[in-house]
Amino acid sequence: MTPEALHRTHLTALVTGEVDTAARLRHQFQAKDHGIAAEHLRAAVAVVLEYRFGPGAGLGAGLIDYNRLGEFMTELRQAGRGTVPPPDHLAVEAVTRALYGEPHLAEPLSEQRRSQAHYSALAHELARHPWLKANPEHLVHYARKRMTTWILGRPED
Amino acid sequence: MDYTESTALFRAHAAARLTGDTTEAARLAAQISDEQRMSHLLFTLTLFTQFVVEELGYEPDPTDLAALTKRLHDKHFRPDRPFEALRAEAMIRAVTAESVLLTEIPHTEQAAYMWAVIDDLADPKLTEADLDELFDLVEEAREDLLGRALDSPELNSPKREPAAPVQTAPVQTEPVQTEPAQGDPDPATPAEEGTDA
Repeated sequence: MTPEALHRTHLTALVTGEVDTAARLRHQFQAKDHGIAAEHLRAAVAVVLEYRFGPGAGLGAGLIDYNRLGEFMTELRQAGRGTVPPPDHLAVEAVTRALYGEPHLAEPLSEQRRSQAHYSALAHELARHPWLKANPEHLVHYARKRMTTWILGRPED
Repeated sequence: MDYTESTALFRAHAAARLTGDTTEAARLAAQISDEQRMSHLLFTLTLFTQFVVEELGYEPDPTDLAALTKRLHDKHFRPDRPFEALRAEAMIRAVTAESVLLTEIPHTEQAAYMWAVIDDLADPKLTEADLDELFDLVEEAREDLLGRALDSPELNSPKREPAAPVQTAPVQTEPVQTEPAQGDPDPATPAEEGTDA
């Protein structure tokens, strides 16, 4: 599998919720792939959060609407009640706000905590959008476009 | 150390911190025993609440909070010093509108985040009279806070802890204890009740 296909397949597995497949694919990762996969995930989260918080996530959007953020966090806390160990909700808030004008909030988080928080946000939002989950290629496509924009500083020609 | 002595130590420590006397603050911090940690954390929480409510109100504006959080991040975060500014912000929200957050920040980190906020909010030129007034308010607010923010009436009255050792003695004995039990206003009373039985 080419590195590109590997990352596409890995993100697809995360979107469809096939965590075992994703874990198996990570065995094929080289050192640098973990960071690349984390960026793919962050891009997918940016795309999916725009349905909720408006356009421009990770692309210069202004501050998030804190009332809508509050609703999001309340939903997450209700969904995560009783989970052991307890989910890191503040990390989810940090990565969410980081995409909306407060990038410094994610800075102190390790890559692992950050990715876990991204995954929690993604899984939660996909549960509300069954179509996106059932058609992962859509989200994967837009996530990769988002990454290209991050890397080039502009959309692909 | 009884309740009054503990409170005096906590006040002295906080006064040293607020006036920037770091040597004295460190000396007093070393006197706070492991057994007093939780009590001290609650004292600090009340002091912190006082500053938050005074400076930011009961419903801080999220945009103002975001600016404060950025300021704290810039001031304290270093790659080798993982200061999570959002946890400092969450402490503020915990004592105003979102008490659930108090359960999501490790207790071992709470005091440090509260002090980071206090240092940002407090007037560096507090006089002794200001401090006395502040601490009196803190003590008044302590019970109220326990009831309201933690919503836990059982924790509400640290002053009325029963003098357990005396109560377990049903027969009349001279109360041998010379030290009053923690915070008990009158250690002799339970023993006198015992004589009626």
